[in-house]
Amino acid sequence: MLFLALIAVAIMFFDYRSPYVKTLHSKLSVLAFPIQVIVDEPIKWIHWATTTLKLQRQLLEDNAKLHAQQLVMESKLQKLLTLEKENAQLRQLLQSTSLANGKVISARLLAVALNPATQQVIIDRGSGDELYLGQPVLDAYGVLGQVISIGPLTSRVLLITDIKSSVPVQNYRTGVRAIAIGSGSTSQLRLINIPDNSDIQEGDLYVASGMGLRFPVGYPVGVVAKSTLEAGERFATIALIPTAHIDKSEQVLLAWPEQAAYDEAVQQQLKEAMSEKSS
Amino acid sequence: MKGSMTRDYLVIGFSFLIGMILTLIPFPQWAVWLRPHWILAILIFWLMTASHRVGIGFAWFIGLFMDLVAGTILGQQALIFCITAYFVLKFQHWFVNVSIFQQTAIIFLLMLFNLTIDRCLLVIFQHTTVNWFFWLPALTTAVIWPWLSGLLYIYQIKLRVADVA
Repeated sequence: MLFLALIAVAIMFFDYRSPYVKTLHSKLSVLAFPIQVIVDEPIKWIHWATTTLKLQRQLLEDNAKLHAQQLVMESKLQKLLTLEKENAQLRQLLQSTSLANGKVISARLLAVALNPATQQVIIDRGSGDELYLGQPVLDAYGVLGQVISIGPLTSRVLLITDIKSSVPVQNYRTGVRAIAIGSGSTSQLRLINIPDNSDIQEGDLYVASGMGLRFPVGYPVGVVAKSTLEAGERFATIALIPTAHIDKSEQVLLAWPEQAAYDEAVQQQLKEAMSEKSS
Repeated sequence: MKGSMTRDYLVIGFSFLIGMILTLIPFPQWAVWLRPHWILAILIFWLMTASHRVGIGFAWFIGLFMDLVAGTILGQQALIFCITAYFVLKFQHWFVNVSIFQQTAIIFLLMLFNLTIDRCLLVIFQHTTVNWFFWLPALTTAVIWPWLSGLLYIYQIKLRVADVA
């Protein structure tokens, strides 16, 4: 017993410390795949059945609604195209790199539950799709999380609401930067180290600032739900509601943000600062 | 009987497979903390009734596999499972002879003990803050124990696993 317990402790230590054992762990995760599929497949069928067996009337309604939506979207897109062009010209004048959108692929969340003490999900893309560690995971409404472990067929994603996650963000209205950390529950993020006198209102949108060179710049992260200033406290307590549909998403997007909003010299400095901090 | 060993392991393995499926099935958001610890309950049952087949080593391997399935740090559940197996085997003779209510109470205490280790490891390796919901699985596991052990007992007799015990 003692022997096996010691081995277990040793494995834990190495899994926590050594990158080699960590990659081994990611590779071994393929062993768990059959069981995940056994659980996931029936749920997928049920979902398929419920969506396929809709009434025709409902489908027609949906169709009409989507058509209307598409029209609005397209007109918005027209405006956006001219804006994008204008923006590129202005950026050229300022001699900074453009906010080019990189490659995006979609992935499906596996319907399996993990330990509720950690906020993680499993997606059906693995090393075959050339994912990388720290890759941003988005849905149509906002930032969802980042890839933390890549297996041959599946990968694990740390959600932005996990207590270990932090996202560099920026107030969309005022442009002031902050860090949003997870709270451990799917419906809340918190901003840390916000001075008492800063200008933050309920309903303010926070977008990714791109400071960590990880999340795509300008992608929405959360909306301020409550900001409380307590007399005598130096920092305000600010709660954000994530804009991504964290516990409802099924399809997510994996992004390869090609360029951050900063030019290369600044990026280099940020990278150096980060490596200094981590070493 | 010779040759029955592989069959025994198949039967036991199948019960663990069901347990793993029950562990992975998604629950609605309000119920995630109510999930009983199926695998541990099944493991304790086999340790009690078929200790010549399921021992500490077996528990250790199941734990390691659960770490892979559940995405916890490797070795976390292996450690918890083998410590539990040790205690169950140590008190096995006494454990099988007490009434079902006493067994349920013991399961509750064992689960509390497990969750304590689990909580320590989570705080060390995952840096989570843990709320009081965290202790709920001890209660739910104790609640399912009489039914689960009854079912497994029928399953065991039907398939004649470990008659010799």
